Order: sequence, then C-alpha cells, then structure tokens
Amino acid sequence: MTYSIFVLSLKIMVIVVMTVVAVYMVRHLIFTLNRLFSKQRHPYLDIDTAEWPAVTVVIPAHNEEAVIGTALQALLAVDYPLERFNIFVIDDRSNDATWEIIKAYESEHPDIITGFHRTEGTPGKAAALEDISELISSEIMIVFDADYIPGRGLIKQLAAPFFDAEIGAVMGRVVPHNTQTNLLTRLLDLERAAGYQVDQQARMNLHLVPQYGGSVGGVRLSALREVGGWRANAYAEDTDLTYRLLLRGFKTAYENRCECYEEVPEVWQERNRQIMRWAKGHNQVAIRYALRTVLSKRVRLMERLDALLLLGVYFTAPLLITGFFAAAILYMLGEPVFGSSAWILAGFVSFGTLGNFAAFYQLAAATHLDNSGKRIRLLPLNFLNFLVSLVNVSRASASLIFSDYLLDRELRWEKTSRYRNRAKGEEL
Amino acid sequence: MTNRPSWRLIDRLRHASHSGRVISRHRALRTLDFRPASILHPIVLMLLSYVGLTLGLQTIAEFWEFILIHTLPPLVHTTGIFQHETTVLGVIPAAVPYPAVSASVPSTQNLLIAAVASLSLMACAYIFLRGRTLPLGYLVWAICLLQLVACSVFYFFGSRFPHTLASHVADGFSYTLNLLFICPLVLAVTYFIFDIPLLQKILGTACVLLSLILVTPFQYLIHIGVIHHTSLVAMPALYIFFGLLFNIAVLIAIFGWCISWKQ
Repeated sequence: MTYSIFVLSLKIMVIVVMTVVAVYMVRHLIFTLNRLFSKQRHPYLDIDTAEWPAVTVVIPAHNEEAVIGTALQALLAVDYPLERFNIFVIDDRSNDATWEIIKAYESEHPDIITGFHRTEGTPGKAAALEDISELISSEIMIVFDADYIPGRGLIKQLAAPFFDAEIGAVMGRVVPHNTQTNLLTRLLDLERAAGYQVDQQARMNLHLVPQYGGSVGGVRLSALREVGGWRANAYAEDTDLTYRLLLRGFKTAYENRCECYEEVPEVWQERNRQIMRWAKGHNQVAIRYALRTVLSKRVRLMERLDALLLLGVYFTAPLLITGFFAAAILYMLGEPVFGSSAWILAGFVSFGTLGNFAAFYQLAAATHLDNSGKRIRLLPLNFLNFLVSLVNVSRASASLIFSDYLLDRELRWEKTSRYRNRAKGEEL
Repeated sequence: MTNRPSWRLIDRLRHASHSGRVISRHRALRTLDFRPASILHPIVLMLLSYVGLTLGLQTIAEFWEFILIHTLPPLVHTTGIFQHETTVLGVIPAAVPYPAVSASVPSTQNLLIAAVASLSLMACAYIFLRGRTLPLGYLVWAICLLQLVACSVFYFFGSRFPHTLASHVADGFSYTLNLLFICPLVLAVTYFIFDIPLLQKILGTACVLLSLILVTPFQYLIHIGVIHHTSLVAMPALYIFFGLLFNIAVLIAIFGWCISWKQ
C-alpha cells in the first residue's frame, strides 16, 4: 500500500512537471515565431523632434571605481536638451574611490551632475533609489547601473514612450560588451540575446507584459509615486515595480532599438550570486502579486496569463529537479509514465537544458536576427549554464522560503562584481 | 493610365543608399519575410525526411547490427545479435538489434563500492572543480547523486528493477528511432522556417539525422561494456545521462552548427 502511494505520488509529480514544461515550450515557440515573422511593434521609434520631457538619470553606485567614470563620460555625451537633463549619482557607502570620482565629475559639470553620498539607511539599490526619488523633480527617472555605457541617442529613445500617458516604465535592450572574455560571458551573451531580442520584443508585439529590468530603463515619477515608490525590501525592485505598475493600469514599453552595454559576470561564483538574487527577487514578487494579478480586473486576460507565466519562470527549476528524480526513480522501479520514462526525462531536459529559460530555438532565432550566427555553435555548452542556473535557482527558492520567510531573516543585497580595468588572469 | 512602381521596387529603394548599396535594417527591427517558402520548406522537407526515414528504417537497423557484430566480440562475450520488434511513434513497425549479453544484479558489495565511489567523486569535484570548471563539478554531482539514488533503490527495491542489459540496448535503439522520427517535426518549426537556402536545409537535416544514426551504436557499445563489467547498478546513470539526453545533446549540437553556416 505504501509502495503504491509512493509510486502514485511520483507519477503525479512527473505529470505536473511535464505539463508545466509543455506550457513553457509552447509559450517560447509562440514568442519565437512572433518575433521572426510578425509585424514588430515599435510605436515610439520615429519620435525625433519633440518637446522633450525633463529627465533625471540616476546611477546607484557601490564600489564602482572601475566603471563609474566611463558611464558618466558616456552620459555627458548624449544627445538631449541640456536644460532638461540631470544626472544624479548615488555613492552608497563605497569603500573605494567611487565618491572621489563622482565629486571630480560633479565639480567639472555642476549644472548636470549631482553627487549624493549615502552613509546610512537600508543598503542596496532599491533603498538608494527610494531615497533619491524624493529629490527628483523631473517627470522621468532613468536608471542606469554604473557599468552601463549608453549611446548618444539612448536617452531620447528611452524618453519617447513617455509621451504615451499609459506608459509607466520603459526598458531597453542590454547588450554585454565583455563577451570575449571567456566561455561564461559568451553563454550569458547568448542568454541575454534570446531574452531581449526575442522574448521581450515578442511580449511587446503581443501586448503582453514586457518586464522593466531596473537598468537601461525609465520610470514615470508620477506613476512611481502612485504605486508607492521603490521597495527597499525587494530583492528585485525592477520586477516588483513592473507588477505594481501593471496592477495600477500602467504599461511597460520595451524598446529593442535602445541598446546599452553592460558587463556580465566573468566567473561562475559571481554568476551564481546574480542568478540567486534574480530568483529570490522573482519568487518574492510571485508570492506578493500572483494572486492579485489573477484577480485584477484592470489587467487583460492575456496579460494576466503572461504575467503569471513570467512569475513562474524561476519556480520551474526546483520543479524540474524534483520531476527529474521522480522520473528516474520510476524508471528504476519499472513504473514508467506514459510508456517510457526516457521520454519524460528527455522532455524535461530538452526544454530547459538547451536554453536556460530560453529554449534552443529562441537562442537560434536571436543569433539569426542579430546576424551573428557563429555564436549559436555554443548551444550544446549552454547545458552547463543551465545546470548551474537550475541548482542555484533552486537554492535561492529554498533560501527564500526557509531562511527569509520561516526564519524571518533580513534582506541582504549583494552587488555584482566589476571587471573593467582588472588585469587579465588576476584571481577574483 | 500612369505606370505605378510596384511595392516591391519601392521597398527595395527604401533600403538602398544613393550609390545603390543596401542599407541593412537594424537588428532590432529585423524580421524574416513570410514567403511561400516559409510554409513550403517545412512541409516539403518534413515529408521528405519522413519518407527517407521510413524507407531507410531497415537500413538503419542493419547498420546498427553491423556495428554490434563487428565491435562486440572483443568487448564482451555474446551468443548472438537478435531482433526486438518495436513500433516507431506507436505506428510504424520496426526491428532493432540487441545483443544477447547479460549483466549481474548488483550485490551489496557492488552497491557499497558504487556508493563510496560516488561520494568520493563528489568530494573530489567539490575540492577540485571550482572556478572555471564549476559547471563540470555540478555535472559530476548530478551524476553521482543519481548514482546514490540508484544504489538506494537497488538496496531497498532491488527485486523490482525490471531492466536487463539486452532490454536496455533494445530500448535505447528504439528510443533513438523515435527521436529520429521526431526530428523532422522539431526541425520544421526551429530550422526549416529560417530564410536559409533549400540546399543548406537539406544538408543540415542530413547532418542531424546521420549524426544520430552514426553515434548511437557506439554509444550503446560503451553502455554494454560498462554495465557488463560492473553490474546493473551502472545502468540508471548511463540510461539517464548518457542515453536519450546524450542523443538530444548531439542533435542540438549539430543543429547549432548547421544553423551557423554562412548563407
């Protein structure tokens, strides 16, 4: 009897996971075909001459001496009316030369750059943004990470969608610039390409829920204040904001044409920390807003569905691991589901393995559209990236539930390391 | 009546510079043109693949049998190669070869050795596979964890393990045949839809299918060698990580290579 119940529960687990996998496979396929063949939605692309709104670019910085100078130089060179453009740089308790660099730029460009030295309050990007938002008087707030290098036309491209009153946030495309460093950076480049070039743009085309990513993006201050401002206790303040805006009736616009360069992690340990932070943040948002999203009458049905599937992405990892071992045990006991455990195992792995939350066909579509076809030869090695993500996302999910919620631990925000100007081969 | 230029000409002119060269669209705006070929290529190539595979089913099985006959004897003692009747996708009858080889049921000593070996490997992976080789460490841990689960299942439910070495090989070949027949459908929505020359698609399809056909017998040769000389305890890890998963990895690798060809 115990054995039968054990086998039955394993079979139910496998069927549930197979269903989830199938749903995400279909979703990714629809996005890929839409991105490849459908009319692409770029409603704000041609806005070139306008009464541009006042914009404040905000850069939270913690120990960013390697990169902050380059970011500020690039921002000073952007094409935007100077009288409507401000840069606020927040040094959040750095113990390197970040504040000195900021002060130097501020003294050279006092009309444009204002530096803030944050020495108390909750640590982290969200808390820094929360503090600074109260001081901003412009209509639009654009957030950049300190390692980003914006192009000349980027600010106008990001500001343009805000002429549409429905738009609460805007997100551009993040492109890694340190892709040639090693295998990890190349794999992350693939991952980013699929996520932005295919996934985000397809969601924009289909009037679904493009995600505000917290950098290379802007927020309408009035909308931000209406939904309660930045949340300092959020691991992923960007995803959190996307859903609060959505529930309030604001849309997020994705601008595929707005490309900005970033650094991706160059060592696996750093990648682990990054993916764990994203997973915790995403799952935290899922716990907070999934039910409200389902019940919201302001959000269209398809948007609700997409929003829920987006929230579920980081839950698939622990599900996959559980389903994988369940199917493996059923194989060993000679109790296959649907005739063959091999297919189930292969199904799990085909979906997630060869795509790392972006299926292999999304990666292929992205590299094809980017006209950089040779990158796709790394596809089989993406299994390694997937394996690392699978384990660390599962760790993060477990940590969020058992450590943060059950044990009621305080949020601890860890920033990503920077590699620019670091000597090659130096141990990190 | 005035002569109006065609829309195709206008569209071409929009993307031409003053010297007549093409202004390529920014990658953010790029799409594939939906032409008749976008539908015809997937349908025709898929049908051709299925016809080829159906007609070549026997040849594939004979090739696998040929490999087994000529490579098995130095590896293991076998009394012959037999045929296992199966169906591909539950519809097309086929026969796959399998060798009459056996593997012992793991004893408690076998299980202990396997468990200790797995734990040792995990420890070594934890200590040595860090930094750049961290993902390999994760892979080793995944395989070893599965091996430990297998040891536990054999220890507690050993009598329920229904698979023999012969059935393992037969099942493996059968799954590969099924995978071969799924390939054209997968390629139809992931490869044939691209704006790639037809000849390139045909070559690419041939590469994908041939790679699976060529790799499979050697893959199961290794399985036979390892399982026969250790015991059935090695079967789950080989089945799961080096069975269909490996075949799919080969498929994806060749797919990635084919789609990267210069057009």
